[in-house]
Amino acid sequence: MSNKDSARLCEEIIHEHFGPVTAKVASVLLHHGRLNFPLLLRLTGLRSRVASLAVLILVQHNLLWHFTSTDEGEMLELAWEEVLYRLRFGRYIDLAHKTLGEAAAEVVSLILDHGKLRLPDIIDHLASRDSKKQKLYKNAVFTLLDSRYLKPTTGRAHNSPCDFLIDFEEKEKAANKSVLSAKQLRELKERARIELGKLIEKEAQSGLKRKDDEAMNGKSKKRQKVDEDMINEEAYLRVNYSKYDILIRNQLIENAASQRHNHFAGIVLRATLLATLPKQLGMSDVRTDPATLNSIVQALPENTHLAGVSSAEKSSQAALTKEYVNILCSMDNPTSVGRESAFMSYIGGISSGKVSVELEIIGKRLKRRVLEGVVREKWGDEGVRIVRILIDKGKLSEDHVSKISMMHKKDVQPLLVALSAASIIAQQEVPRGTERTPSKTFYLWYIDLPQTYSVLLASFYKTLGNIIARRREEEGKVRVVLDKKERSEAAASANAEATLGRAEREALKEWEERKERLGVLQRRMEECVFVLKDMGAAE
Amino acid sequence: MAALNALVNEVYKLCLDAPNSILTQQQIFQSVSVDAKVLVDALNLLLKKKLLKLLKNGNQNSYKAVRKAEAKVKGDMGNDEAMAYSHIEGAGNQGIWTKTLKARTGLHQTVLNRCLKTLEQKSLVKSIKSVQFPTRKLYMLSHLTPSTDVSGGPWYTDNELDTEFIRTVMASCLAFIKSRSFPKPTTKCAQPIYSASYTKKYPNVNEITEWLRRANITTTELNAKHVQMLLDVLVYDGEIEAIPSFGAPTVEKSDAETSEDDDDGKRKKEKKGKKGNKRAASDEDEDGVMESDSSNDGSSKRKKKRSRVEVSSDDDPDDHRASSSKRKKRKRDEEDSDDDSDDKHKSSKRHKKSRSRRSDNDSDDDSDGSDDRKGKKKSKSSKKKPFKREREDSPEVLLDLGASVVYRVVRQEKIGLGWSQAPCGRCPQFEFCHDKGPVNAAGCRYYSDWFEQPIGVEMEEAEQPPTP
Repeated sequence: MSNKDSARLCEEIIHEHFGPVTAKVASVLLHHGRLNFPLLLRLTGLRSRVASLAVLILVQHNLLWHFTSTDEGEMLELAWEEVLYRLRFGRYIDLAHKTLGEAAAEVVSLILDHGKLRLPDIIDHLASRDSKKQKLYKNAVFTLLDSRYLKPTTGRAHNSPCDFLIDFEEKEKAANKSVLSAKQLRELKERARIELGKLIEKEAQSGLKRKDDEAMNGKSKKRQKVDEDMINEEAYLRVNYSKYDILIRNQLIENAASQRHNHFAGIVLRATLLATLPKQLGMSDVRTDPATLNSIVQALPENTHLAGVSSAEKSSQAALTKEYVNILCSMDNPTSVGRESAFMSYIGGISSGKVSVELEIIGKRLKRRVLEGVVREKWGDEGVRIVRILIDKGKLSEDHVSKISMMHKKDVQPLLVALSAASIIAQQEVPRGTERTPSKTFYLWYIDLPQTYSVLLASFYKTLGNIIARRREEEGKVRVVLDKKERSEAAASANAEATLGRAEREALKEWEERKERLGVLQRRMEECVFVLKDMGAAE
Repeated sequence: MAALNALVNEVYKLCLDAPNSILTQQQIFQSVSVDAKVLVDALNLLLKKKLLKLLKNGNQNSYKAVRKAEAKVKGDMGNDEAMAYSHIEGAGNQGIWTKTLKARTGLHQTVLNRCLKTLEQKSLVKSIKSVQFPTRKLYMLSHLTPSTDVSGGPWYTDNELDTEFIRTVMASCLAFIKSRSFPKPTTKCAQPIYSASYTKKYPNVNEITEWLRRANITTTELNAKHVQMLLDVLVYDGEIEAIPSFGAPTVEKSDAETSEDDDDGKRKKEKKGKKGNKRAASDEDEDGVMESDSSNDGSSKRKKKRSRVEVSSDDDPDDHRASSSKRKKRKRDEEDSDDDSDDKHKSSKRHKKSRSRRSDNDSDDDSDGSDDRKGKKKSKSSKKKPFKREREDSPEVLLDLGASVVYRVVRQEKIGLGWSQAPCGRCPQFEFCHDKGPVNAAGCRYYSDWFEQPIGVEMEEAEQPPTP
């Protein structure tokens, strides 16, 4: 569910990317939930033509679901999570550039600009005449599709997955006349989910045409029989965000390992992740597929010489890799605490020689680090100590906290109150008897991690919203100069700067600097959001 | 009169010299050969002068000699004061709460206050404060030092938790552990680490305590228990981590062990039904202990486990039960490798000794008590055979000692926290800030200031990739 802060952030993002009118439509949809078009018109106060254009834009950019139900007519709903991905577009292009090269980055950038495009449109935009270039870009699109950096999209993607589930259930219920038991309902829900998964998977494969595509006549209009593994020219392609998120996540995990152990541990972990990369499909994976030690050694970047494990005199790469894998698996700490601080684990015992990266455990840990970071920033090391004690021990009274943390009660008390005021920790009252007077009540403190994370996430969203709002404000200040610069650039591209006065040039310089600062800040904030929102399952 | 005086002196000396300065009436009558009536007079005189104290034990009277100085003090006291004094005296170094004192003596508050005041003036008693109950006023004899329960142990100075002291000792502990946690940097690697099989060489609590003692960091006597508290806090701070010292090399071994045990349990189940069931269950329990050693519920499980260790070491019903079930297997084993089993046998003896010593001061658990009885019943039926092989190398025995946990410094993974760099992270008006409110992002002064700030070192650092 979107809340106040995320709704505002979405609004700011859409305002920045698509302008005020679209932002207004989005804002109404965000604050009122799903609406039909007439109601949307009334609430926005826009003219029908303008509003429908805005709706079209949002649909084109995969930000709006529309769903026609029998009783309500066509309903519009904003996919707010999709909006938040827009903050990462810069990174996505950068990642595409790093992993697949210049042409791929251009393709990704173009598709991001247009929401979704078909192959001929892409080629048209990038190289309308040059046949050499056309081939280059075609290849780039093929690689992107094949490794799932792009995915085809169909009409189904314009419906909210929730609607599909409900629709499916309704149909099943109608077919089955008897009243369903709770168990049957559960099964039905499960079946609906599986069905949706299948549909999405089918959709993902529709980008490259196969021979057996004929069989699926439901969407036959964009599947014509051509050679095997050709780009489906009719398919609308969009960027598969989660594949890029996997890359971002892997980078974060590698950095964490480098910090936790050393540089080489990070390299070994990266090699493990690389070895299993093609099979990492979504952010919800608990762990990666198992990788053998051999494949890890092979995935090590060339001319790296592992070192830094002291007791291992043996200098062969494989032996050192094994040492590092052991360390990353926390083999020295076979307790539950050790398992929680591990990066990998052996699948099927140590003798199998297969390891997989424990994505969920790492995600959980990084989330906690973000929480600890926030607490440390605001309440110092003592605050972190208290938070960690509460996470570890569960519900504790003030006395116990002060005893375990070896801090004075008068120091602990204000910290607890401050932490609970910030909704980081919560309090539970346990009356000693039937009376509920404060003097006869135990007050226990505890941490509800999902709740805490959602509070943190909300403040991060608010901050991001602030950053974007401020950027708009700063831009507004130099609007006149910017316009003037644009005009002169259009007129005489040779010496655009010269037409500006000195004061104007300074203002422009200042704006550039501020924009950069805010951009960097936004990227770093986004990383925190990434860890909290996208990494690991909810605790 | 002179005769009586002499007699009085004689009796007093006699009592004083007796062990604990206590003599029964009979003993006195036997050792002093005078008329009973005269002796009784003498005793009465001594009692009156408070040089003797009458102790009643059933029908028998015995007398305790009181030192002269003490007697003088007590002699000077009024009845109420004496009563209050005796209760305070009885409380020893624990002290007695004024409220308890009032209830025990049955004196009125004002009377009691007056008594305490005079006693304090004579510097016979002193008032102290308990760490546990800071609001209570306790009284104890002035020459006694309060017990650790009352004074709070080494971490308290003047009834206040000495945070500064704690911080200092903690920092030095951390420095010591740090010095033992990582190998020296080499040219190849600036941050080398020890391999996973290194665990035995990290310091444990006892070593840290010993080091603290030798390094002369503090004059206060610290024992392992106190240091453990500090280490726990350091663990919570995320500075160090606790790892079991048997570590990696025995991991595979212990795995094999448990699986073997499980097999055994199954076999027994087939053979002996109920018995086998129980054994299998206990095996599972052991696994649980292994896994959740230092986690939340570790303490309760550990308790259980401890008491089990005790059982096995004292009368060994557990062992016999196990051994009887394993006899068959053992025979096979012995045939296979005689030498091996011999060796193990020797080592088992050594282990047993250490275990029984450890378990002496362990308290028994109620729930396990019933278990013990069951075990004993069974042991009667099974023959005694001192064979304990399967217990010896099971990890739980090793795990029990404080020494089985070693400590190592953690380099924590850090997430670059963009929020702390944003003005919003520290903004006092963050909650109040709203687009349409008086405080809003567009006109935010904190952002204006932030634009003026030079780009910090911190920011640049965060941007750099980790250097090898």
